[in-house]
Amino acid sequence: MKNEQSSDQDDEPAPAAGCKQTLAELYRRHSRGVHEFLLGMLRDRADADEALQQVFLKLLEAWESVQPETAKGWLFTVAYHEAMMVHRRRNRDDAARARLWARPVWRTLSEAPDPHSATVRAEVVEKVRRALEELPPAQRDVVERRLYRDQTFAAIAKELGCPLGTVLTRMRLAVEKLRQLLEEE
Amino acid sequence: MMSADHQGELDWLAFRYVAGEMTAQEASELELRLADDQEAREAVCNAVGLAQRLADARPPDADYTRSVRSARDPANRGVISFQGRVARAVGWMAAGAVAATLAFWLAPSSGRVSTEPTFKSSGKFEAARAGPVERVHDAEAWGLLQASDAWTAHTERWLSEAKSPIANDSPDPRNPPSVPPWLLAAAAGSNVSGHGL
Repeated sequence: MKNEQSSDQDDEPAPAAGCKQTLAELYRRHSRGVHEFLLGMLRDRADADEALQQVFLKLLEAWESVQPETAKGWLFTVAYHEAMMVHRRRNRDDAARARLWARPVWRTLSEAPDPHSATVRAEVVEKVRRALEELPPAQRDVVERRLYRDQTFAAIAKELGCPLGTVLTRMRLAVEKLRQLLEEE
Repeated sequence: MMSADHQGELDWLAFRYVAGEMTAQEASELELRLADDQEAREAVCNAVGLAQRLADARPPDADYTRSVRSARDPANRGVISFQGRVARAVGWMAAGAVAATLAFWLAPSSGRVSTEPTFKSSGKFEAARAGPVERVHDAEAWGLLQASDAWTAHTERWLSEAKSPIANDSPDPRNPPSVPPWLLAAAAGSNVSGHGL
């Protein structure tokens, strides 16, 4: 990592503080985001953990050539390639790949909760529940069916007797609203 | 800077991706885009983060709610399985025995504290706080509830979870993750000592 003063919007730590500290700071700052990105792509916690480790080991290997101001993009790019490599390694056929894509990420999250989700504070849970309660009933119903009962949108549409487009619209509006409410808090 | 519409579109695309609600073709196209589009990558991160928070907030009785709703459905009311009938009969007998025992042993006592059924953190009925008459009613109700089809393992779990405070000594998830030992070890053994590692 070159010791140049950072001036980007990410406000990366000044390398002058020491490379070890820079590495630690980069990890603290970006590891969660990179891990979530990997989870989104891989749908498997163990694979995501391993890929995250590979990403940071590659950062060490490429330490001389990575600029602090582009470190975030660099980490995500390497994470992407790691994820695609895992895809290629474990899914040789299209059917297996399609099955993987069809798997919602929260099934992975509920299978083996990491310390983050296992120890999530009561206030965070409360905040999300409050946000859910603020949704119009029709939207909340779709969210609960999709996330907590693991029904597909098609199954929800069939059960509610409404077009698939209506269910998708409700979910989309609910996701937007939830995002806003949680960001506000 | 993206417009709100474009951002909303991207967020929805990412949510559908992590929800597994995409065709293989759509997923492939998005993954191609993820190769060099940092905004799309961050949209995936945000979608996973949102999914995680929603999953964490899953009500403990989510499935139980469905079973109760189903039992309340008029179409299902008249259908009681043989096992259900046996369980119900056993429940009635148990409730009767409990009620008789409580009435016998506790009738002379005069301490009346509360008419509402209360639960200890273990989920057990706290009969000692009710008066004799209410105790009999509560015990009957408790026996009926346990014998009914609505009584499931979810109910047991819900009762214990509802009264169990979430530990407050756990690390705050909003705090940044600490650097893992493997990374420090790798840094210590790497060839970038010229930079102080």
